[in-house]
Amino acid sequence: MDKEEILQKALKGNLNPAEKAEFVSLMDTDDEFQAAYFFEKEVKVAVQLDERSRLKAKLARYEAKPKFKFWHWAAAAIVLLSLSFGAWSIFQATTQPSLYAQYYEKFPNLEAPTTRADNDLSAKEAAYRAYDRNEYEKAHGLLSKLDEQNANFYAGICLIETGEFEQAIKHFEALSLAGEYENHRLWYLSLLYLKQNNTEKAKPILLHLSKNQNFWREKASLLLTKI
Amino acid sequence: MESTREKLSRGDEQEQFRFYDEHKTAFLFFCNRFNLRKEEALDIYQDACLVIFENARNGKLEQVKCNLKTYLFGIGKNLIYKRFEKKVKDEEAELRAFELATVFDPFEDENQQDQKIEQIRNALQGLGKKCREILKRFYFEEKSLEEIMLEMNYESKNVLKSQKSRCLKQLKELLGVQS
Repeated sequence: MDKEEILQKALKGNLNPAEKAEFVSLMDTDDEFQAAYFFEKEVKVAVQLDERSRLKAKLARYEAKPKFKFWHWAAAAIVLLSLSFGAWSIFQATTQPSLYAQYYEKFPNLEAPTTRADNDLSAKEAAYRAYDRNEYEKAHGLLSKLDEQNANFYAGICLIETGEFEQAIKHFEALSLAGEYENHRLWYLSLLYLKQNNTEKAKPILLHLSKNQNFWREKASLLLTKI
Repeated sequence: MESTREKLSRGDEQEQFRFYDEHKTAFLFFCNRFNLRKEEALDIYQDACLVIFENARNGKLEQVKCNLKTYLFGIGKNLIYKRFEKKVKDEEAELRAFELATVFDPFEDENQQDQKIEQIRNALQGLGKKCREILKRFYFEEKSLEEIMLEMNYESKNVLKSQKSRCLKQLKELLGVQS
């Protein structure tokens, strides 16, 4: 786990015991890390105080304001609307996993297309060869060892192909990629969420993809109309 | 139908006001037994609501299994103890330890805050709107990089990460100018 991640977890106060040990040792040995941690901790307190004062002022203003009957009607209207929306979304919810099946396609190997014989492959070529041949467990192992960001993306696809959807979600959530691969990561993550009927998480991702220039833009827009 | 918890987790302002109105009378009545003045009771009531609104926003409310009213009154009682150190017997000990762990006094740090925090608060006002929004979502709402990236429409987590670093750097520069 990288330093930044440890620092952020420490700020949120949710380090596990192993991470805690690493955190303590970093605080002891790494002056830069220590300074960054203390600074961000103070910034966090400052931001929280700032937001809380803002909210408190809002409540105090509200307390001082005379109340109108109008809100009762508005509240009733909102209740009605959300009721019908609720019913509608329950009705809709059953179709999400089939959308996954409709839209999921294995991502093609764009990294190392090989035509050479099996016996003189580099580690990278061997990994992608296994990927191309649908030997996903083998490919997953080899890709994970490559220590390349993009290989991690393909390792995620292997998890999907072997049916380890929970794992795949965790894997894609934790990844952070550069360039087009970031969009590829998001696309597959949104499909996985749909597979789990988690429209709430899939939707903002699809919206993001449909708003920006990328390979999945049109598919994402189309998919959005169906959920 | 969307529940109160769900609406509060979105930071829905109308729902915050509705929640505030819903429990106010009962809470002020509850405060009677601690002999608080009305302004004090109202102040504590507002702070207790702030704790609920903030925990709803940053997801901590999901750990709270009891109903929101019980939780609200539990927070209120804690704040009264914290501020007035009144010894009152614990009648409704419905809050379990982990629920209590999510209770904080919203302005505790403010009373004992050092100059440094005060300086940072001032410097925050000098940041651009975008930076303030990022820091708010990051530290106050405790959102993940992914969530913020999607909400604010950043190209990737890395881009957002560098933007956040730039904001912190800018904040440091502003602090340098101040001191």
